[in-house]
Amino acid sequence: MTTEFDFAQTSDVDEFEAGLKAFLAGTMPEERFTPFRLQMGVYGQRQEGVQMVRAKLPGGVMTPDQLDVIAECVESYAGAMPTDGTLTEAPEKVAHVTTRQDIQANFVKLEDVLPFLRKLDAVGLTTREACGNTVRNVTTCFLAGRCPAEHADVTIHARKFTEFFLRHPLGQQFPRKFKVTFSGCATDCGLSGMHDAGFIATHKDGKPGFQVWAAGGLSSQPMGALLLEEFIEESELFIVGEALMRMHFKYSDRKRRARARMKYVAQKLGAEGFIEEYRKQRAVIEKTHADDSGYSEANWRTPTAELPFSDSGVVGQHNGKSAILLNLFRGDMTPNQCRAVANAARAAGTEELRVTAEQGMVIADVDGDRVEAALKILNDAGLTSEYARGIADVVACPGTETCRLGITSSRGLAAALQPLMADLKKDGTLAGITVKASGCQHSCGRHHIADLGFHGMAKKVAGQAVPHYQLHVGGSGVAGSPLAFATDPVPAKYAPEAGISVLNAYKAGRAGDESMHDWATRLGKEGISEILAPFKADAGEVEGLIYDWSENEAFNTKGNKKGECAGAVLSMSDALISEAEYELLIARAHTDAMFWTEAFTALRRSAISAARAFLVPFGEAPEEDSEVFGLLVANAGSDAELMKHFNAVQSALMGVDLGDPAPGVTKLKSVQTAWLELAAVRFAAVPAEASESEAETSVQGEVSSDVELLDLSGVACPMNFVKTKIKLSPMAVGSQLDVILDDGAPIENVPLSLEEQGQTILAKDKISDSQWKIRVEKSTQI
Amino acid sequence: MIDFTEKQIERYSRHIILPEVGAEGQSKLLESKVFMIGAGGLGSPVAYYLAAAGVGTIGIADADVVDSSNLQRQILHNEDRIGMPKVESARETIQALNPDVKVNTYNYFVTEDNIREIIREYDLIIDGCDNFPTRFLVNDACYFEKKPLISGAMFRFEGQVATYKPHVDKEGPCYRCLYPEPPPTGLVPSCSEAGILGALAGSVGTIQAVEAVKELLGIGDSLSGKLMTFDALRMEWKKLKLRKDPGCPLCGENATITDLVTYEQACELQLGHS
Repeated sequence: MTTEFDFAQTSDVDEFEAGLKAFLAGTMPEERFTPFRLQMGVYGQRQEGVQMVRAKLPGGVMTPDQLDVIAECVESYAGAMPTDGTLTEAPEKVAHVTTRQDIQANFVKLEDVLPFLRKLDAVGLTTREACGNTVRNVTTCFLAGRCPAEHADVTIHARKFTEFFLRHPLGQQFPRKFKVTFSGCATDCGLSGMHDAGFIATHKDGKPGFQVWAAGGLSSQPMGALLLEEFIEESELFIVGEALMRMHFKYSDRKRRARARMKYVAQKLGAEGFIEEYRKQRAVIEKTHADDSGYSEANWRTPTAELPFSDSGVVGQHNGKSAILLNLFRGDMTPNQCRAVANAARAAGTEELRVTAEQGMVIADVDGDRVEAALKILNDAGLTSEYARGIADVVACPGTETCRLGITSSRGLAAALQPLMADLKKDGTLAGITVKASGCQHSCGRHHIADLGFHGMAKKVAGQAVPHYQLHVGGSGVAGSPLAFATDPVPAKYAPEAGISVLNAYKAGRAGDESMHDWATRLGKEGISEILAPFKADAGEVEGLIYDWSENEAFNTKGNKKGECAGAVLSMSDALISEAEYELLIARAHTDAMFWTEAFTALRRSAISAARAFLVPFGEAPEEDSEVFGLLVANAGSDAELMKHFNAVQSALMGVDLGDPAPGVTKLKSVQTAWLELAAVRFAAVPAEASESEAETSVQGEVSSDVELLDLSGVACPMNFVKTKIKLSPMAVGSQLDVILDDGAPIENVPLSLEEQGQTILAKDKISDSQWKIRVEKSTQI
Repeated sequence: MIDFTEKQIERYSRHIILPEVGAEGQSKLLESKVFMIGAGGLGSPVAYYLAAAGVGTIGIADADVVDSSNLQRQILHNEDRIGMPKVESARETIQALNPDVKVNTYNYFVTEDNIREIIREYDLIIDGCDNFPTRFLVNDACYFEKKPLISGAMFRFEGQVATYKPHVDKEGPCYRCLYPEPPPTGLVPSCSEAGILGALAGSVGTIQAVEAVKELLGIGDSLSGKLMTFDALRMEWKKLKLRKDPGCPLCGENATITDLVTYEQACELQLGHS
C-alpha cells in the first residue's frame, strides 16, 4: 500500500538547488528566497545560522527504510551549533515527530540542507509544502486501516488527497496554511474539530461516504469547525476539498496574517453564509470534476468494536494482528532509536510504520507472536509502549528550544510533568486524560483541545518578567465538541503541581462518569480559580520563579522573533499568475467536456489575471476588471513581445462566436496558454543564468559571448583590483572577464578581493613565469 | 557611468575599492552638485572633504572676507588670504586639492529673494551658517524646493548635526519641528561673546561631510529624524530621535508658512561669521 504513492519529486529538489545557488550568489534576494525555502519545508529557527527541515508524511505513513534514512540524515546534518552564540552546548541530534504527523530535524546548517533533501528524495520522502502558505500535511487517525471502529481505511483517501493537491496551482498562492484531516469513524481521532477541512468516514443508509467539517482552527483565537456536509459520497471528496480551497484562496485575508486562516471567513460570514458561499464555489467547479474516474474505492467495512485501548500500549487490529503504540518522549527519537524502531518492525515482519498526532509512533500489522521480540528491541533502545495515549503521553510543542515564537519552554514543562503524570496513570479514572503544553498562544501543542492544557505566556510579578502557564480544562478536538476553558495562569514552576491539583479535584468531585469538560462547566470559573489560588505567584518568591523549566538564563523574551509559519507572501504578480494558471486548468477541463461557455468564462478570467500580473511592475492595480486591458496597453505598449501575445489573446476573446463557440474557444485556449508561458519566463522565481541583474541604479550591457581580456600586468596593488572593478561595473551579470595579473601580491589578493565582493573566479592559470590569467564571472553588481 | 581618466582612477582608487562606493558610486559623486551656505568654521571641513571625495560641483555662498580671527578654525583659508572674499579663498584651496571639482561662488548674502533659484540646480544643501534667521531661511527654502538639508551647528564645546528631508522621509522633521520660531533677540549670546573650540568645528563639519557623501550615494542610515550631538568636554556622541511635529508651521498638517518670509536679524554682528 505504501509504495502506491510516491509524493517525492526530484525536480522539486532540483528547483530548490537552483534557488539556493541563486540566493547564495546574490541574484535572488532574501525576500524571494524565504517563501521559496518555506515551500520546501526548510524553516528558520529561533537561533541564527540553523534551519529546521520537515518531511511531510501523509497519514504519518513511513517505511523502516525511510526511517533509517532519516536516522542517517539526523546523524549527519542535524544538531549543528547556531552561529549566534546562544547555545553553550551542541544541541541533541533527534528526529522529532510533530502534532501534524510530520517528522522534522532541527539545527541543520543551510549548506547541509541540500544533501539532506537529496537523501530524503532518494528514499521517496518529500518536504514539499510542509511549511508556508500551503496545503499542509494531511493527517489521519493513528490506527487508520486497522482500527476495529473504522468505516474505511482513510489512509488511502488522505494519500490520494495529498497526491491530487500537492503542487496544485491553487495551493501555491494561498493566503495562509490549510490543514486537512481524515478520520475513520466518529471517534474522530483525526480531530476534525480543529481543521480547515475534516472528513469523517461513515455510512448512510448503507452507502459509504463522509461527514465533512470545515473552518476549524486553534491558535490564539480557537474556533471549532462547522458541519459543512452531513454526507458526501467518496467520489465527491476532491470537489469538496477544492471548493473549500477556493473559499480560502478567494476570501481569506491576504493583508493581515493574523486573520488569514479560513476560520475567520466562517466567523465573518456565519455558518450559513459560509455554507452558501461554499455551494456556489462547488457549482463553479462541479463540471470540471464531472469525469472523475481516477478515484479508486477505498476498503469500506462495518465497524466491529470501539477504539481499542490497552495499558500495555499493544492493541488489537481488526484483521487480528496487533499494533504497538509507542510514546516518544516529547516526540523525539535519537538516530539509534530510529533504527531500533525500523529493526523492531522488520523483526515483527512488517513494513507498516506510522507517526501520530500525539507525537508517537505506531508499528502496525504485527503478528501476535512477534510482539515480544519487537518490544525487546524497542525497550533496549529506551522506547516504551506503556505510556502511549494515556495521561503520561504529554504532548509539547518545541517552544523556546527552537521556535521563534516560543515564549516558554514547553518541552521543559513536559519533562517536569512526565514523571508526575506517569504516577497518575495508575489511577483508572485519570488514565485516559489528555495533557498538552504549548509554549505560546499559537497552540501548536494544542492546549485548547486537551483535558488538561498548558498555554505558555509571560507575566510581570513585582516588576519582573516571570514565565507562566495558563491552564485550560476539558477541551476536545473531536468535531462538534467544545474547546477547553481557559482558567488562571500560574507561574511555570508551579504549573505541574497546579495541574495535578486540578486533576485530583476532578477525580474527587466528578459526578458519576462526568467528563472533565462537564465537571469544569459545573464548577465554573470561580470554582477552578479556587483550586488554583494557592499557586498564585508570591512577590517574595520571584527570584525562584524567573527561571523557566530547563533554562539556565533568567526568563526573557529576547529570543522572540517573527515566525515564518505564515510564510512570506510571494509577490502579487506570482499570485496573479497562479490564478491565471488555475483558471486555465479549469478551462481545459471544460473544453474536454465540451462545456464551451464555461471554458470561455474561465479563459477570460485567466486573461484578466494574466494582464493584472503584467501590470504589477507598473504599480497598477485597477479595481474594475474592465479597466485592466486598457491599462496594460497604456503602460506596456512598448513591450513588443508582450503586446504580441496580448493582442492575440484579445482578438481571440473577441473572435468567439457564442452561437458556435468551439473553434473560437479552442483558439483562445491555445493563445492564452502561450501567453502564460511567456509569463512563466518573465516572472521566473529563479532568474535565468544569463539575465540582467535587477539593480536599478546601473546601466548594464548585454551579456557578451566573447570574453574580454583586461591586461593588468605591471599594475601594482590596489590599482589592479580597482581597475578590475571599474571594468566589471558596467557589465551584465553573468558576463565573464579574463584578467592578467602579476605573480606575487596581485594574484594572491585580487581574486580573493573579487570573491569577497561577490564575484566568482572560474579559472586561475599561470601563463608565464611572472603572470597569471584569471577568469571572473560577474555574479552580482560590484 | 563616467569614463575615468587614469589620474581619476588613481585619485579615487580608495573609494572605488569600497563595496559601498565602487566605480558606480564614484561616478555618482562626480556628477553630484552640493551647495554650501558659509565658508567658515563648519564650511571648511565640509568643502575640503567633499572636494577630496570628488563631488563634481560645489557651490559656496558667503558674503564675508577672510579675517585673522577666522584662522583659529577656518582651515580652508590662510594668512596670505586675509582680506580676500572667503568664497574666492575657498575656490583656490579646493582646486589646489582637486581640479576635478567645479566651484561656483556666491559672494553675497542669500536672502528670501534669491535663495530658491540658487539652490534649485543642486542635489544637496549643507548649512554651516551661524545665525538663526539664515537657518530658518535655508530650512524653508529647502522644504519648498524639495532639497535634502544637512544642518550643522556649534556653540562653545558642543556641536550638533541633523539631516532634514521631510519630502522624502515622511516621518522625518524639518528644522522648524524643533524650533518653530527663531528665538527672541538677546536670548542668544552674540558670536563674539561666545567662543568656540576650533577642532570642534572640524569634528562637526567633518560629520556633515560624511553624512553628505552617504546621502549622495544612498548608503547607510540617514540622520533624518535624528540629532547627532557632540559634547567635546565629555567626549560624548549621542544620537537623539527627532520627531516630525504634526503641528509644525512649515511641514505639518495645517501649515501656516506657505512661502518664504522675511527673516529678522537676531545677531548684532555682520552675517556670514561662523
